[in-house]
Amino acid sequence: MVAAPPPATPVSDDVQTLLARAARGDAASEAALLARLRPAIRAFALRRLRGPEADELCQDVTLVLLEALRAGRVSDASALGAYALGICRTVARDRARQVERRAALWERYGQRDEASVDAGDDDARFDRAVLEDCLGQLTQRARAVIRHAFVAGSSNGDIARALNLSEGNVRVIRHRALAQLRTCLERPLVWETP
Amino acid sequence: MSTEPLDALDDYVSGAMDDDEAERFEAALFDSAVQEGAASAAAWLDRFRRSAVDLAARGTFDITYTLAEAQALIASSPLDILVIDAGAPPTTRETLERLEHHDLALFSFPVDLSGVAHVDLELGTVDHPCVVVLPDVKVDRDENRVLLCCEGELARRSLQQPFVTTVVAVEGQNRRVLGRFHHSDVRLG
Repeated sequence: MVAAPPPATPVSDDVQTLLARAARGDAASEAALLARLRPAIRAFALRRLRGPEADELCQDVTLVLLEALRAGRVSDASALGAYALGICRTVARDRARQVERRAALWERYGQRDEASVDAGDDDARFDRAVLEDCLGQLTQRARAVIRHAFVAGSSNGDIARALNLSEGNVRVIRHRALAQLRTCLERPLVWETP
Repeated sequence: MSTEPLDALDDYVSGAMDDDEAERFEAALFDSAVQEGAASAAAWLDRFRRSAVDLAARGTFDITYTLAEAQALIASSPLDILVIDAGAPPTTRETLERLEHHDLALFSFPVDLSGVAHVDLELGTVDHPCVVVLPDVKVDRDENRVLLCCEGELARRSLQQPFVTTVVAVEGQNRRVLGRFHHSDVRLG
């Protein structure tokens, strides 16, 4: 159907260094590693769940990953992605039993590390003015599709029914709108271009 | 990065990608997250999603409103909203001074919308009146108004130049100007 991301390239020494420091309890290194992985964890969760449940799965995976990093269970940077994916799959499979484990993990790590577990939810947003300017340049229909998909978290089927489109059409509109937004968001605000 | 990984990621997240392909995709997804960090497609999409949710919560995702929707936003929003009636003078300087103290700006453009099917907003400057087109915007036909809601920061940064908004009726290939509003014509509401 579509191409996968480009094949893996060797992991930089930076990640290897971060892993070693995280295993020694360095909080900044932990945070840097989690920041790299959090978007992939969130994508994994959003494929399976919506709304608060997806957030909860992200947090659970992050906690387990944090525990593993601190225990030095991942020593090879090239294995970190696969390790995190393994955690995601295990946690997703084991959601019921996870409730107890989650409480224990939060008790052990959550209080102290709430900021690092939830980090990324408040920072690294796009400039609101630029984003609004870019959204305004989408058609009303494309903006509605993007709103349903990324704000409401609706499935393509639900979006298709709500907007009287086919699912295939929703998919094409999403792709085109995201490409347009990505290009637009890389530019400065048009009014500030010399 | 090309947009192709973004398309694949969107198919993955939305469920358009089948499970077998998704399982293969996941390995590459996590590897690219480790290797590329903030430059990965996943990081971009995550940042976009959070930004879109934030904008929607503030009321500026939808750009244009009906009068009833605008009134509901004003009544319910914790943000300070400056209503700007684009009818008569005075000046941009005063607008900018007022905008310094507001989170959002709500511009109200009075135009005759009778018989008009679609409306574009053209934003520009006096010398270049059509720099950006907001296509097929929502309008309030009963009130004969186009209500444009934007971040105060966007308004402040845009109005640093002699800004012009043109309301255009779109009828097939024909474009008819319904109103042109120079921001020296802005009256503070």
